[in-house]
Amino acid sequence: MTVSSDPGMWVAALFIISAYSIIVRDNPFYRLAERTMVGAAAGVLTVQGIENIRKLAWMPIMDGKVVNIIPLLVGLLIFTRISKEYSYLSRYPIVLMLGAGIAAGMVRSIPAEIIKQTTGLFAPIPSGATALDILGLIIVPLFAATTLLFFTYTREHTGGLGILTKIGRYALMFGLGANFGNMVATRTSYVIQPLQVLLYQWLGIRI
Amino acid sequence: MNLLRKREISVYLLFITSMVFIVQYYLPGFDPLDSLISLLGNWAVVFSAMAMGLGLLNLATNSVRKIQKRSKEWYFDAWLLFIMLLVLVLGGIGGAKDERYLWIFNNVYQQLSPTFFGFAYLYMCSVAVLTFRVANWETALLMLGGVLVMIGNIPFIQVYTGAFVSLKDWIFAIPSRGVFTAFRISMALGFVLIGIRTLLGIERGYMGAEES
Amino acid sequence: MGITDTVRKLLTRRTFVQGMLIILLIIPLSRPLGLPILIGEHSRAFYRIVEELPPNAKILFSQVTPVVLMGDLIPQAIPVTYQLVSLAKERNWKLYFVGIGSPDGILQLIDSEIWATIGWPEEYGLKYGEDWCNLGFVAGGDISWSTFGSDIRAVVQYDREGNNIDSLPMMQDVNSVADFDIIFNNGEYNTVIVRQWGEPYGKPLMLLCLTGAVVQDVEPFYRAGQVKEYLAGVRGGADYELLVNRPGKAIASLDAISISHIFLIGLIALGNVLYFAEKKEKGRNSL
Repeated sequence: MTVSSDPGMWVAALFIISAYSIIVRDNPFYRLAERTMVGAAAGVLTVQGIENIRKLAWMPIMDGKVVNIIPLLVGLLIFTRISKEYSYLSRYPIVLMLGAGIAAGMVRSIPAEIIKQTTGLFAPIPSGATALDILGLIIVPLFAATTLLFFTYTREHTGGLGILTKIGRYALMFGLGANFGNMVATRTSYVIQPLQVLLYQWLGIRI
Repeated sequence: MNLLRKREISVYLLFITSMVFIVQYYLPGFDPLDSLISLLGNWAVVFSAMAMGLGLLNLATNSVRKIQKRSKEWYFDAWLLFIMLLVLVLGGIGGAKDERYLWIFNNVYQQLSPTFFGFAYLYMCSVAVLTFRVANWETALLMLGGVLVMIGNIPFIQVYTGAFVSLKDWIFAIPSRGVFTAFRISMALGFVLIGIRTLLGIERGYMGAEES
Repeated sequence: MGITDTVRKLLTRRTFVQGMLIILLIIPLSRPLGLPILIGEHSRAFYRIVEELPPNAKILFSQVTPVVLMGDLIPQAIPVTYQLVSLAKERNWKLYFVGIGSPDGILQLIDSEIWATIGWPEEYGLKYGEDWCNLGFVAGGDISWSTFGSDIRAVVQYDREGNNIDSLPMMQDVNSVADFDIIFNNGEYNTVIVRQWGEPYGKPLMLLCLTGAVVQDVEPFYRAGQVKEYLAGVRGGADYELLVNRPGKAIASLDAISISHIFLIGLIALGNVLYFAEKKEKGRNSL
């Protein structure tokens, strides 16, 4: 075990330990780590934005494509949002961004997420299919349809509709449970990763 | 200038921009439209990059306000402001490859961000005993789905019995696939409907509060 | 005070439960238990698809891992990228890296986590601009993915190093996503990539996704044939480390993942035992 001599690693380790000190109780070290993270995150995000503007607008302008000054100037209007008097100007770049984004997302989501997903629910029975396979081919569209029905509010869920929405509710619970179970693996890795930094990179534990 | 204040101008502009993209989608290969799309796409990316600075501006404004008012623990907000400006100055002037900026990125931001994100799991475990109770059929199914998948996800279980892994794979492929396909379809339908309402000017939340 | 009350009070003390979890994770991380693992079918299929990629393939690798999610995403990106760079020279593959929407992965993590672990592509005989390039970060959401898909130069004019992309030999004849042979994505944006790149251009999509995203996002797309194959989180990364014979962080995490799952299942089971015991006690007391 060779403890790191890199001052950066010591800073990282102390911040991680300060953050984990919340486990004992709220304390000034935790609050310091929290504010550091928030400040660093805001700064980092802005720097990445500056990099992008530099590459997309500034460098082309320096290379002679002067027309790229237009998006730069119009984009600056976004910052008028903080002014009470001129905030209406910030609407324009936002509207252009939103209009493009909505349209680009909308037209592509229809074939990819609605049509393809709906047709994908109904598959032909493959040759050599077992009873379980056929059951599966029935369950998938049944659960999809009943889940969608569960979220309809135009008619009271009674009678036949009541039975279908009940199936949908149970399917939904089971599906959400499965999703939660899978989420646990993801969330565990978020705890493991800083511990690995402390053990392997700071304390130099070799395994 | 009064014309620019009118909210209707924004609505018309949004409609026109959206329609350009929608028409281009149904008329691919029409060069003038393709060039216009590329231009608007380029502009939208520049605006998105600009908008990344808005969060910093808001945070800075709030922090300065708290420091001026000497609110509770204002010195932490002063520290936040200091870190934010330090990162901005180092990265903004030196670029994203500046050594000092990278030092802060690698040793502070990259270590602290995932650490804080991991607290969700810690808190989930601390309330697990009280929260995940089987009180009725619905919660029973919720827990059954969760526990079966969790067992299937335990790495060494697979070596001793493939049953839980096969069960987990079946759950992913059949029941939960049906449910989440329904979610996907309904989310996409919602997205399209909100999109249509926005481009028709019915939804105007993006414009902020109405001026008096 | 009954035994159920004592146990309940202990297991609802935040400090006790969270502290126990941290200790239970530290033990296998510092002294691996050596629990066996079996490589999953998805990981094998993913590996096979990469191995069978034809020569001269143009490979687009979208590296959109945000720093907050690196714990689940980077451990799989490392062995996959290793496989790509180690075969690229011999198969004359061209590797294009880009990051749309999330800057951390393509601007920082690719250097500090991926290249720092496996070595830079130059060590594998690849030349920047001819065999591999980093197109850098593009801000924005759907519109950026859509515009990159139809006209790369509308949103990327200079690569991450500041070179004009037209000066890179490997960018000749590459104008849109249609010019690539296969697309990898390490990060979120699974839905966006299917919507903006997979469906319109019909390109095979290989997703390196969060474990938690499999059920809600990836599996429906995979079953509908919109995603060719996927790797899921640390577990997928561990399988891949075995397949490429390069043990790393992912395999080191597996014992800890096993312990944490067993811990949570134990808490849930105990919570329910306590609940039913309390219910029985209340029922007995009311009689």
